[in-house]
Amino acid sequence: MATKTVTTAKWRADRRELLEALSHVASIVPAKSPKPILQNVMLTAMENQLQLAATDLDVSISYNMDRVEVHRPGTVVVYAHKLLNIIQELTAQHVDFEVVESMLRVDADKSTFRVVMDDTSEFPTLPEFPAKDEFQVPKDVFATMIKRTEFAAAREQARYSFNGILFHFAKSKLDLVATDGKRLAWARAKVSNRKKIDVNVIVPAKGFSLLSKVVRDDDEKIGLSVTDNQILARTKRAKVSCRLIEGQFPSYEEVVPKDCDKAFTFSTDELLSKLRQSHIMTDQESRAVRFTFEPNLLRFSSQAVNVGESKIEMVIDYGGEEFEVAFNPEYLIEPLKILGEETIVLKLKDQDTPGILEVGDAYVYIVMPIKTM
Amino acid sequence: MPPTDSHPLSILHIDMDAYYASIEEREDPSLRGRPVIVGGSAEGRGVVSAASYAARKYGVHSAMPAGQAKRLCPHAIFIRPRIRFYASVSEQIQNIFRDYTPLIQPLSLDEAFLDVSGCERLLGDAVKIGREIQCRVKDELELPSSVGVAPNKFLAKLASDLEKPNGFVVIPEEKKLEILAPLPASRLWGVGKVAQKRLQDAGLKTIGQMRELTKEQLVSMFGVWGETLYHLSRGEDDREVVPEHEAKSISHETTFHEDVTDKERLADVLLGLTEDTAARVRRRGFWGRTVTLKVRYHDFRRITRSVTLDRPTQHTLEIYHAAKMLLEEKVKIPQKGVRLIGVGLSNLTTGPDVQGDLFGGMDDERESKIDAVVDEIRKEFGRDSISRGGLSDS
Repeated sequence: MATKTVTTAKWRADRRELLEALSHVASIVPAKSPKPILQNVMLTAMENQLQLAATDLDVSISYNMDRVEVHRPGTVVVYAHKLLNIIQELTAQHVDFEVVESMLRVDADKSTFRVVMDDTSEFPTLPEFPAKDEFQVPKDVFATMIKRTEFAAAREQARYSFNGILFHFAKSKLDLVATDGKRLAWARAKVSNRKKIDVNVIVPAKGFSLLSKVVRDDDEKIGLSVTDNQILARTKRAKVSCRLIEGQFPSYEEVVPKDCDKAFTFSTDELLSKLRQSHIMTDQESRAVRFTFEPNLLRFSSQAVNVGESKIEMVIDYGGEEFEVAFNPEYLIEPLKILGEETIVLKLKDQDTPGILEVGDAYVYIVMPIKTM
Repeated sequence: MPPTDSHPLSILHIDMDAYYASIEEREDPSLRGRPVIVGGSAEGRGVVSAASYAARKYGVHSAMPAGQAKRLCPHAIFIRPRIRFYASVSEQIQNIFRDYTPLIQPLSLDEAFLDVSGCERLLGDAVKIGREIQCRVKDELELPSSVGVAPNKFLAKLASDLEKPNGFVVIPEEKKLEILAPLPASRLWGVGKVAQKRLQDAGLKTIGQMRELTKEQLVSMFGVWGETLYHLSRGEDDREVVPEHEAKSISHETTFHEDVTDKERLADVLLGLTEDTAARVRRRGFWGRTVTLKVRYHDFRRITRSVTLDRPTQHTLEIYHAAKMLLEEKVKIPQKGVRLIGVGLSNLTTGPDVQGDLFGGMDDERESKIDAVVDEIRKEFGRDSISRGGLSDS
């Protein structure tokens, strides 16, 4: 078993195409791993196609790129980040690859690299996409929903369900929800469900995040299928599989405040600009930006002992009584900058009740206030 | 005579001379030798933060109203303080200290205690280290300082002050009584105007004269603090140099008359101490994340155990739950019992700025209200007037 698989692979690839493919694939390759084989990418040259594959055991991807001239098929396994570095730094239009004397030789213009190869038989087998039980969701809708939720998930939280995105598809309703406990993003869409799918699973946020990046303009649909412990997603070029996160997702419907009686419509850009300004005068210890609502005026104020303070005003349409609420501005800047909506509705009640950002029926984002005294 | 092992010269007190003003002079050499006053504006209600020695000749000193300083020294150059900049210079100074010992206790931006015991074999004795630090601060940062070297903190601080600026004074164990004797009693830590007056009324002006009183006499004059004065006047001080990260804490402790073995009783005492600690934390407007339990055994062995919470708190109950967990799980109570127990809160921040949690956690508001009520009642009726029921069983 220890003998290395002999291969004679040889191919030529378009550098830009390869760079894009490799960047996606390498993004899940861990920088450090107790299993060194996972730091590799597997390249398989087939008939006029090159397949790139990587996995961190939670999320796996295989990505097919065309615009490849395959002279001899074969499979190699090489250190992913080194190969990415090489392709990033090269400037030629084409890059030639060939296995020579158990090393992968990379040639472009006047540059030559010889890259150490790992044993292909050690590389984990990626999950197979089951032929049946596949259902489809429209690409544009789904990619937008992922983009609007994935940032709200926690990173490496002890409550595992917080590290994932809830994927809930039943009847013709598709919901994606992510939270880190401080804020919660909930994207909703009506999607036809002829196969009467009913799934409710938690998917690692980085898996869906990767999926939203590998979709391309010519993908109309994303194919999905869910097994006991995996969700698999398929686009024209890529297959992404994610190990499901076990655990109970928090009851998100209950934390949406029902009684926010103050609704403000903002220009997204203007609100974003004011928040970014206020954000400057916060630090780790004083993260809050205070919103003070007065008749026709909204004032944002922030202050941090070691940094300074800011007062930023904005004219609004408001005739109610004066009130205040404080938020971590980062929790509002993040959704505002990716929403791509011209206007946004902010709903509030008082200083203790979560605030709600809303985009029609499609999106609800809830953020807990900061209590300042 | 070489210093005895029990009282080696191992404590340094380094005090920067006219710190803010010296930095300003360094930054703008045209200011050198001229009266420089760093502080608020003379027109407003500002005060002097620091005065160069040239300004001090006119009677200007720190904490004086800036207007008064201006009258005393009309041609002084007034500079608004740049605290963050001074703090960054302090960092550089501390980096020099760190080449010699990790036991550094800064008292403010411009002074610090260093414990260099155990460094002698590697770096030379405390006097050599003190000289070296003073030179390096002068050479590398172009700033003057005064250094005191002594067997303990009290004497080291006293020493650094004796020959300012650019002073270097060593008070060895065998010379301490002689050096202290002629100094005014006000040199003792904690002797303010009132105490000074009481000593003077008793005909005691110098530290030497104070030594004529017995411990009992001092205690009858000044209460428990009299005992401290008794020791200080003899140059005795056993406080340790506490590195900064530990010093930024608020704690309460109590010593038992007899060693306590009963865990339940310890838990009860702990609740009272936590109440005191938390009340002080709240009074000073702090929030803290790290709870520390301190226990001293019958044989004076001391242990501390800490736990860091998910988020800062100032609530008695949250601190108590953590302290009690430490007592129950991290401390073995020996048969002969415990002499002292204490609880502290550190990792302090000034703003509560508590980010709310969508899915619960401890009910902050309710706890705040209970704490506020307890604080009020205790303020009104004394600390034993109210206690929390059933807590020690929870």
